[in-house]
Amino acid sequence: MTKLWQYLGRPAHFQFRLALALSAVSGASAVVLLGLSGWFLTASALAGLAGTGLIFNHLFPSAGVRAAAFTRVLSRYGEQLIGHDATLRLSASLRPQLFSQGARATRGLSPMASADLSLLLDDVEAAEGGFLRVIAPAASIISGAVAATALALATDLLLAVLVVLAFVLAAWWLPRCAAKKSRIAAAKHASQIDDARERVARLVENAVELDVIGAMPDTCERARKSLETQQVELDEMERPFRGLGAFNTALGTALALAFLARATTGAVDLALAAGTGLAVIAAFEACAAMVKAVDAAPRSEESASRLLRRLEAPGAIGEPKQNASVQLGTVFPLKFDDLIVTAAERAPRIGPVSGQIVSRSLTELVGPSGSGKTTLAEALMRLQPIQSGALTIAGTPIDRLRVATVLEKMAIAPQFPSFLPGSLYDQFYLADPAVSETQIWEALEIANATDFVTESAKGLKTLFDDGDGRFSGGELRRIGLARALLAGPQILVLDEPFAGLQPTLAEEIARRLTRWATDGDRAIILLQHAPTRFEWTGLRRNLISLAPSLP
Amino acid sequence: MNKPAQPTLKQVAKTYLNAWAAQSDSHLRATILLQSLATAAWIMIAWGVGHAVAAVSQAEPAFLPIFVAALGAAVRTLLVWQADTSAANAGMRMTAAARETIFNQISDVGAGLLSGVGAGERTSQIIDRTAKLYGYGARWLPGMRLAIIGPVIILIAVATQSWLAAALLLVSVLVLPVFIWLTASETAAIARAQQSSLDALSGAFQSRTAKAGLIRAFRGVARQTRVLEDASDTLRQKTMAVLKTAFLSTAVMEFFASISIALVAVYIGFKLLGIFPFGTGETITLAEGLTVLVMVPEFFAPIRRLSSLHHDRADGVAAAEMIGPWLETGFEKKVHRLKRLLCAPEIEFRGVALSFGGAAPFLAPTSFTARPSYMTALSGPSGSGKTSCLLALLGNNTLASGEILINGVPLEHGASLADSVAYLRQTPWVTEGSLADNIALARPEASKAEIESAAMQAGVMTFATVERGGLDQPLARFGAGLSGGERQRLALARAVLRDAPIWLLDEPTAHLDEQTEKDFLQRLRSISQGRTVLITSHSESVLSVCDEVINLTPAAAAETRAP
Repeated sequence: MTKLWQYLGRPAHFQFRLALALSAVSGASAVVLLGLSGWFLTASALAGLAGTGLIFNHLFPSAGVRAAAFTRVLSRYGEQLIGHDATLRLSASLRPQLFSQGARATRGLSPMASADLSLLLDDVEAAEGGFLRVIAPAASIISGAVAATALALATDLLLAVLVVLAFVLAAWWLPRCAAKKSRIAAAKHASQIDDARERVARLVENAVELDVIGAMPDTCERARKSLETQQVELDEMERPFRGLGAFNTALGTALALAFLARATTGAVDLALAAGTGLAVIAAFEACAAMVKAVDAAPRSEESASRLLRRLEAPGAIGEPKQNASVQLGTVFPLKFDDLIVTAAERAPRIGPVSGQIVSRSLTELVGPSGSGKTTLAEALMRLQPIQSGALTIAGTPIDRLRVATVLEKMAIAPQFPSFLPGSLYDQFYLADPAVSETQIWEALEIANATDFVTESAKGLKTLFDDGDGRFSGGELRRIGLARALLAGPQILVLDEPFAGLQPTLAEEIARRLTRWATDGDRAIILLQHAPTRFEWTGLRRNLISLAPSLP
Repeated sequence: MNKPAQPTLKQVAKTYLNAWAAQSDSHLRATILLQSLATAAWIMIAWGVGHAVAAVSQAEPAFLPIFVAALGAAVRTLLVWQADTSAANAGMRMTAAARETIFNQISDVGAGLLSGVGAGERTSQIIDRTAKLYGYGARWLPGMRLAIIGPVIILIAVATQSWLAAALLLVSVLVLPVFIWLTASETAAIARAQQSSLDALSGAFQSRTAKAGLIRAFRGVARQTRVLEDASDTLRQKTMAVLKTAFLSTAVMEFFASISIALVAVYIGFKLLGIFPFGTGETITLAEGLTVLVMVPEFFAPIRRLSSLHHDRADGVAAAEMIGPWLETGFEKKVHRLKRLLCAPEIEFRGVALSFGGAAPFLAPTSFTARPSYMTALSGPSGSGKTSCLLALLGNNTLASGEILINGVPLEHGASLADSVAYLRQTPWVTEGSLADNIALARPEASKAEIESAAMQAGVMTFATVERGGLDQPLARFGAGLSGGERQRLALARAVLRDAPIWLLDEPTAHLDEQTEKDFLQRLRSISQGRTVLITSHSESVLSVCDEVINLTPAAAAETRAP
């Protein structure tokens, strides 16, 4: 956890240290409060019995009792508040960095797999919670234990050693054993909850079918039973921790009694023994919280180191330093020779392919699905690394160009475009933060998307929320096309733009794209199963065929 | 006119919550009893420690009090352990009771109860929301009662030792609830506001991280990073504002606990010294004084615990407010199944507009007729109500206007043709058991020969080969190992076996590749002869084999198109 924190440049280091100190103070003051009270009472009684009550210095101890009480309240409040503040500051530093580093390490356009994403979110949550769940409670308990041990040392050496051993047992060994047992149960539970979740999800999805064939009651019963088993296994996870708190208190009480027993022999001062006894009881009672801390510690640690690996991962595409890079006036000609790329590290090789893209041209990249058209196009845009071969842009080898420099001149409209949550307008804002409404409508016009956007009740304010099927697949693809146009590219990459469109509509879009391309220093790369039959008047046509790739 | 008094959301939630709690009542009682006894055992410890010290101070034997304290500690450990166990049982019972209610209602009402929100959300309601009831049953219900019982037991015990100490505790505990209530209600309000910004931040981080590739392709990484930084910062400020008050109630609690210990200690200490300036009408011995001091922390312990249980209470109530009203809607959604039709009917939609209970219609008035032996396709953009038209025949939708006629007879509200229907969707239901068992689901009383014949017609035999075990081959749960095409053939076999006069197919080929789709449609064409077939689809190939294609228009689009 500390390594991750150091990597991030020790965010909120002042707050973390202060919160840690306050945790220690609050743990110790709770123990001191009871210990001092016990000692004060007994000493007062002894003084009273001896008739020396009036000369007994009661001012310091009674003030001490009150001071310990206030310290405990204030330090606890401060610890919680500052600890949360520090955690939130950590989060504000961690999450943006994870995002931007993740973006650098991503290959291609495809969204992160949902399993990976949920693992990442769990890791973020566990690592961020590490301080509040593990470090702060541990500091509080340990400082309480130290305070109690110090009192014990002042009372009796032998018993002090016993107290230390008992602390190791109560605050470290037992919780560790319990956490171990619980983790074994957790693995079993994980598979059971998956089963139950899948049963319920399928039941909900297939409800109508189950209803029609009359299988609903039986299916409900099976889902309910699976959930019942899941509950029992969840309880298995909690069971090892149960009663541990009560055991700690009993252990503390036993030790306190041992101090009193020692006092009966006259070997130790009675008032001191009584105070120590109460302090020990309080310290052991606090140990109960250690259980959860010990349980959470390895998880936070693992999560933090996974996050650190993610942050330290090299970018997917090698690029020169900011100041060593060359700026581009134009991308033409974009030349590639014997280019070989792969979609992932051990994926089949694609290529070698060679070609050249010049201004006012249409390059058709054809091949069956799985032949690597998309990966190759992404590699030309520098969204995928190149395994071998040469790629030069306007005569400059790509290793002297930053990825962003290339992307300034190239944009892609994917076959299955994905969108950020937000409005339709937000999608276009992503392509160009300075975009005007006129520009948006122009781009929508080229993509033949004005009709359905106008028809949508909220127009550009229509929201894109997950699972909101407001637009059909074909409509989404046209919105994706408009978005790519708004990025202002010289080379526009279109991935299967006409699949599933009515022929007349497809032809109309092709005509408008031709006009767009001939309107300036522009070119189009078209990814298709087979060459198109449209005219593309005024564009130099260029065909590159990809064979199905071999493993 | 007076409307009949509708129970409010809160009342409905309360009824359900109480019903579930009633089922865990025996565990709840056991928890309270055991925990109260544990408190009594703590008194034994306090008494033992106090009297042991006193005995030693007067050089008397301290064997008995030490023994009492040790015994108290041992007994208390056992009692607390048992109390924890039965509290866990109470929580589990509570969750199980809620899940039982839900599943019973689903069995009773059917698919209509599950519609309205997405499948993912429903699943999470059934599993995750009910899980939130655990804390309500295991911690809040006993904790709430113990926060009164525990302190009362201790207070009585303290009063037998020193009335003034008892009075001190009583005063501090009397002002406490007022303060806690004040801070807690304010905190809850701010916490809700803060939760939404937390959700917004997690959502922002999640969606951006998931789509980092896309953002990078549009050179938006730096900008979106800034968005995240700003969102985190806003969240921190908002959260801290909430926490300042939220922790205040804990701090007040701690304050009273600490100060009470200090006050009791100082009072007893001065009393023992004989320098307490006021007459209190009592004398306190060392034994009594220490007994009281040891008991005081236990006086506050259950109250402190209670103040940390607000979450459990709020979660439980929120779960009931979600689940209760949802289950109540089931009583309106209950359908009655019409008698099975003997031959394929003519189904006519006459100006039908559909809506979700009371809301504005989402399907513009639509008219069409599906004839026997015809395959009628319903097409249109997603959200235009294709599936809803099929569901309307199963009694699962409200008609905002128009009527549905079956052989010229109107289908009444809540009536379902389920017994005359074979229903097929993109991923058919597959359960544990053999292939034959799965086919037989459609008509459990079917003979072996009938199943075989259905399997043959639907093309199941092409993959139910002898090597794979024929029709007796066991299927993994949810049909893992079957390809999309094989699943659809299994579903076709089911439809054939069911021998229903009406076939409803909801995007049957959405998950199939081109070749498999062609093969499926060919089979469908030949074996659906003589039935009334309604198919929803986007697919050109499906629409091209149908006899008639109906284009549906969403209500919103129809409105904007109107002059």
